[in-house]
Amino acid sequence: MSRPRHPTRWIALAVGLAVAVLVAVLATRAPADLSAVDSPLVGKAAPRTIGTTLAGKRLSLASFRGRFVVLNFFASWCPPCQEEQADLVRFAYEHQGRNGVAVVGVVFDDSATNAAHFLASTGSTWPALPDPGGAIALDWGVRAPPESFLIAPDGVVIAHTYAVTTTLLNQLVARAKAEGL
Amino acid sequence: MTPAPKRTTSRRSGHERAVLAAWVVLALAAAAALAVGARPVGAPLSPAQRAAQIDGAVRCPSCAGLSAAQSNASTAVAIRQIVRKRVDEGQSASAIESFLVSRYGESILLTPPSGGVDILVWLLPILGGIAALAGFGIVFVRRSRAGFTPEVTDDERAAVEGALAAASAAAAATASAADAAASASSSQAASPSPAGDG
Repeated sequence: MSRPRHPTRWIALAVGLAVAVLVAVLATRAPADLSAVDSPLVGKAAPRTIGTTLAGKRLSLASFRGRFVVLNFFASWCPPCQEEQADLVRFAYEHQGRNGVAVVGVVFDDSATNAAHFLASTGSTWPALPDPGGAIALDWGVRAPPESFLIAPDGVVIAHTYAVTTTLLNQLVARAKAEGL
Repeated sequence: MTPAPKRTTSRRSGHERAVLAAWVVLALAAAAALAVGARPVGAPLSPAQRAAQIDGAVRCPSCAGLSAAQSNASTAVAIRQIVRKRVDEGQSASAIESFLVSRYGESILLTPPSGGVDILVWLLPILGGIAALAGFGIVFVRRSRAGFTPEVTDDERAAVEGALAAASAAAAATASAADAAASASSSQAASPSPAGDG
């Protein structure tokens, strides 16, 4: 007498195996890294960014070629921006100088007056571009502040982050330098 | 008693063929109606209509579940402006969407892309539907091959008739017992009570 076949057992076994494989893949892949927030711009040339700063001077991102640049999108009304500002000021101070890392701000959905007051009140001395129509933010694929991009001396975007810390920025710059950028 | 004739499945009867033909005609009519309904009609779209169509297919970057056409967030306004500018420059919808994808990634599109692994989003429901239809078809064919009338042997028929006869006899006996009880109670109610008030 032949044993009855149980197709449901095989189906259950296959489903269990698929779930086990899924768990194994999720459990063994690299943990999320703040420095590796997805952006299609990473690895590509930085979008052309030109404007007149809050101080009234013409600024082109291309003029910083040869230096690392942190491009920081911020707003005075944004609490995470307020929180990260002290770290950004510390980072800019540590890397100041002709060959240091430049910091450039872009105002995101905020008035020029409020943005200028915010920068002055936090001791942020770097240039900042107003972006009234949001064209610069769109060119960089920014969804909400704060977002920052690290641009290599050759003008290629090498990292995209949300809120930054001094440590994180230092790590990113050190890693890029170690890679010969 | 003559047993019910077995349904033959080797050759389709004229009625079955007619039913099958009716289903085929119905399916063809439905497909034709869908094809006609899906055909674009009317005059070519104006630049504003083309821009609005693209805005409706693009996600507002800083909103949850809204298209760029539906939101007044600054990012959505910026997208509407760049879309209109590029439409006026004569760019195609796919070129404009490609530009936005190059900035925000695939997630900027409200409709999932149909390439690479993402094609599973489109394929899985279709495959599921085909599998379900195939399952229904197999069950339907098996049942129709099994025949509509069960075969009953004479012994089985006799057993059922015997059981029915026994059941009706039992029902008759119960009814007569109930009648007797009812008549007894009514005659008792009609006789004067020994503890009457007279």
